[in-house]
Amino acid sequence: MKIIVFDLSKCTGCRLCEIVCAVKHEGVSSPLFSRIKMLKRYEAVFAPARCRQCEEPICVIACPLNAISKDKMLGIIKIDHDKCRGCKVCMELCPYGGIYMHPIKRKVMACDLCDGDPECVKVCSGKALSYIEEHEAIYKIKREDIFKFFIAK
Amino acid sequence: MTDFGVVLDIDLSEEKVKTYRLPDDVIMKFLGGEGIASYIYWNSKILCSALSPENILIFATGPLTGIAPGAGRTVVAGKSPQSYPEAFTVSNFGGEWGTELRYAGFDILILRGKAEEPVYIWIHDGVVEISRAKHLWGLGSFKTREKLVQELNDEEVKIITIGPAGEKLVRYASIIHRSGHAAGQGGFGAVMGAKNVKAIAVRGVKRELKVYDPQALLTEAEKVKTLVRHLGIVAPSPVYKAYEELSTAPLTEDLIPLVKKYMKRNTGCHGCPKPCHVYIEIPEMDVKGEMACVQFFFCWLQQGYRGYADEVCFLAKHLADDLGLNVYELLQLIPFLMTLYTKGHIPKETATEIPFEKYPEKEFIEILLNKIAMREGLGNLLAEGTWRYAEKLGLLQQYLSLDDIEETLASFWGPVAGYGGYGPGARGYCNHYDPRDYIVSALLWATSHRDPWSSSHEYVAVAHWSGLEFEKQRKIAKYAWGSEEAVHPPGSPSYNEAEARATIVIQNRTCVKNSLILCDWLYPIVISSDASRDFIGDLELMARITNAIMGTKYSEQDLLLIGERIFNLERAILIREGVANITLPEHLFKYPQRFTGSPPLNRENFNRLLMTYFELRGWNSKGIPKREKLFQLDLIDVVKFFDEKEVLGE
Repeated sequence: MKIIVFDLSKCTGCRLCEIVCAVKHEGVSSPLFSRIKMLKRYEAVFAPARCRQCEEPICVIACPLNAISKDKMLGIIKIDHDKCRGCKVCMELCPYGGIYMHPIKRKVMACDLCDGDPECVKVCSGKALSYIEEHEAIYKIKREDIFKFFIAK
Repeated sequence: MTDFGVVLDIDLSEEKVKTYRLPDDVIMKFLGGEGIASYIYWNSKILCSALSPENILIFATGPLTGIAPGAGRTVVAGKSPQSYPEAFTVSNFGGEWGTELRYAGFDILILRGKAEEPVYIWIHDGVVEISRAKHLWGLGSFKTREKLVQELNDEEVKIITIGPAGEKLVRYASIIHRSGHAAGQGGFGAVMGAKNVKAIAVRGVKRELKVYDPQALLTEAEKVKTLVRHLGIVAPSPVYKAYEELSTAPLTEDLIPLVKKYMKRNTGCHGCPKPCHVYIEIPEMDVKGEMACVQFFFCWLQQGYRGYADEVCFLAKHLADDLGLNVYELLQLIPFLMTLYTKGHIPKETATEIPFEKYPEKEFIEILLNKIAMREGLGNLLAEGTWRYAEKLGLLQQYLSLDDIEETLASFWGPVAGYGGYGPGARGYCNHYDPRDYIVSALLWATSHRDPWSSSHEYVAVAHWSGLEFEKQRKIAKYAWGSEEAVHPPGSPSYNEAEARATIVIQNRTCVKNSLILCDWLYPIVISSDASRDFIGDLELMARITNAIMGTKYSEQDLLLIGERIFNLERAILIREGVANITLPEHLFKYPQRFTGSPPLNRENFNRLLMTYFELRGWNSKGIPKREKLFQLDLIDVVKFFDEKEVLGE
């Protein structure tokens, strides 16, 4: 299964991911409509809040209306807007800040991995975001960090 | 159709706030950014001095700001206190402030009048508050930001601020955003200071910026990413290694280890696919922040003087930003000052105020910058800027012609400055990219309202930075400027028509770019690093992105026509302000370029080339746009003004 992996050391905090997410899903540039939100502490530390596509998602368990489910093929957390009534319990419980209110539809929304072709990854020029097979993350993305950690300076 | 054009008009004297939307036809005629700022400035009929309350300060984003990749910049415009003499100038800065302003509901901010006491402006999702800022007055820009973040209780708030230099009306005070983005040239920090505005904080999430064709935009965004990977800089270029290893703007190889040692990460503007800043942290010196390009000014001075740079260069940048001083001017001022000192032009009683013998060490730069920002002693004179200081000493003509001081001045400069040239350019702005090396540079310097190269890198990107062989450059010149003849090897211009034509295209395109607003370092994409396409870039891309966002049907040519309109309007503004003389400093006609060996310009040939340029522009022999040209560009107001004042004669 493929996952999105974030590499803080490569992120420049430019927020192009934020822009294209909203453009792709809603046709506008707006942080409110974006399913990924870059939090910043000045220019030094960045952290993208987004849906982690959990294996045992608390949002799925908690939703009293069964509006949230996990797709078996791509691992996407899917929100059924016919069932969602905007109670926001998932939003409250998600520890990763990955679920947001849709400002117009008044239902919740989360990253849908662009159905397996995430736009944020495509435009990230520093390659801070990658979409790769989960077993490869350790070999490809985290490789340098791990070497740095084990090989003393 | 675009939703761009919402103006927030604040009268500080009256504490009155207005909002209105500019008519669609104005947006179509002038786009945004520099174009709209010129339009507003022209209509405001500013005749006062730069630091009087009647001057207006315009902050303008563009229709692409916050949407397109590399559209994170904001234009600042008004009458400039730094320009010599004071005149209309445009400056701009990157970061996230402009985007945030748009998300908060406004595209253009105009400040008028003067607040009774120090204030800061707080704009959040359509709400505007003007609050007392007595507790912030006197603080450095970094401390101000920290305090405001605490006070507003929001870490995501985007702030622009002035340092003590702006408060003290130093003529080259900058406006600082984040830890290393500044509107430096123009000295608009002093204009903000003269209006008693310490800072403008913005936070916005609620406004949606419309995109006409989202899919087309996404396609172009992916294309930009591949095209700008190395910005068309290939292996032999002197800055290739800096790009390869640090991904940062022009940095010579010998500085790489020093930067690497303290670099935490790359940073850049909002939505930038090729961020050019490095985030530096030196805990021992209490220095941290973003740094790029000319902010390395003290490294260059150190290298030039003693052959190597040290950590003090980071401190110099940090101090300049904290105090709110424009580093371009410092790059011009410091060598001049050292020359005066060695020549004994500085009176003994003032010479002791600054530890000249400690140049270029920490003590020297710390004391010098603080004195300037606080306007203490000699610093009070230096705060007027290099040209005005030289004038005060009765040395301006000598400085401009570099008679007598040439050798000493040059000896303080290093190899980088050698490419860039030293001494004055047009209207007091510090020179870089020497007119003697590239004749297009000479024309740009002579005809622009400020230093041209901070806003029109497209020529030097090919001729200077790319590292491409001359034959390949010629191909690109044909593609970008219409003729292979538009480029020449450094120092051997042919003074031909192709060079004049190239200058015009570059100026027009620059006006478009600064109006949309797209980053100057990324756009226009004249070259690429892709050998398979002969390193040729993609000039139509700017039009395609604009169309995808605005729903227009512009071709590159249509945009260039808009650019021409904006450039002519700016020319008209300078004519109205009486600063329309088109000249170059004397030393360019007298001495060869010391470091590159390029010969001095030939005055006769240059004047002939200038006439060709005027003709191609549709200007008369005095450089004034003719009536037909103004009608063609639909600048009827300008025609009326010219008629009234009989500007065109006959």
